[in-house]
Amino acid sequence: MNAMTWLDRALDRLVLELDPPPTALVDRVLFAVRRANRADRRN
Amino acid sequence: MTANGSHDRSAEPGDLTGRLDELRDALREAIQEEPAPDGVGVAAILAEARAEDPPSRTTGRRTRPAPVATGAPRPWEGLIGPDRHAACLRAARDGDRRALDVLVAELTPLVWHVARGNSVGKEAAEDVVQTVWLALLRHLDRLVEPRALVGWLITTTRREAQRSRRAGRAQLPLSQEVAEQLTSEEWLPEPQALMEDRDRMLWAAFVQLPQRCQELLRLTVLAGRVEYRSVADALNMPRGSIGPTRGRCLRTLRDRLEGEEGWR
Repeated sequence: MNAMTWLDRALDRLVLELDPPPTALVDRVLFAVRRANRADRRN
Repeated sequence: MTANGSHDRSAEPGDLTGRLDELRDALREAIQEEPAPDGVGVAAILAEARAEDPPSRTTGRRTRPAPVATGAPRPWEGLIGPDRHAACLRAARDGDRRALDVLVAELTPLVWHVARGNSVGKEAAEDVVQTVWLALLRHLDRLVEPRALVGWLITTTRREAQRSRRAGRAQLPLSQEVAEQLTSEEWLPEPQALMEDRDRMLWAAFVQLPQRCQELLRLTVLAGRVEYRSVADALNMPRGSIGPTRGRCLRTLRDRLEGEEGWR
């Protein structure tokens, strides 16, 4: 494997492993979206 | 109860049915607030999106009809990429809440990396992500081309990230000392997560790349889901230049690393 290919793959791995979105973020967003949706329906 | 075993909701008084729907929504949200182990939350949402019956509402409060009959396949099933996003978006417009859940679960990593690639710290990035999805909810009916959803998300996230950074700067005078603190706290992962020196050096070099390079490299990491075409449109780059620009960014990274003592 040449240096650039190694770098490319290592960077992919680092971005995904070291800086992923927090696990609870999707739940937080879904909660906010549903609350906004309900408020829209009431109005 | 009907002959096939399902509840005949139309027989219930409208107000009572509406109240039951609200209680059901609140219960689901309460359950989903409980933290889940890594990866389980998103997987559960997607599994639920495939398996659960669409909402049936007969209260008259809803302005949009529930479009999918119980047990019918979801319109986005079996689709990938822009076709899947467009099908979800159309279903969400028609009132299928599960469609929006699928979009949030699948595209939140993209929105996150756009925010992080625009120099937004982790805590602020969470706020940016939420703001962008709420903006999509408000603009559901105004997106002219549903297949361009990813581009819309990237563009909106970049703007919101810039707004967030400006707001942050307004609250915190950026002295040299503060800037150095921010760099270490906001960008570098926790030391214990960096198991090897090479990873630490690589990440340190990555976060010193120009912002445009960092953003492009982050976005193309997700290229399985985000097509280069959407990335190019959102970054105002010619479509054929994404690959070469990415290559130049990687070469810059390599050159910086080769100048570091202890890299080889």
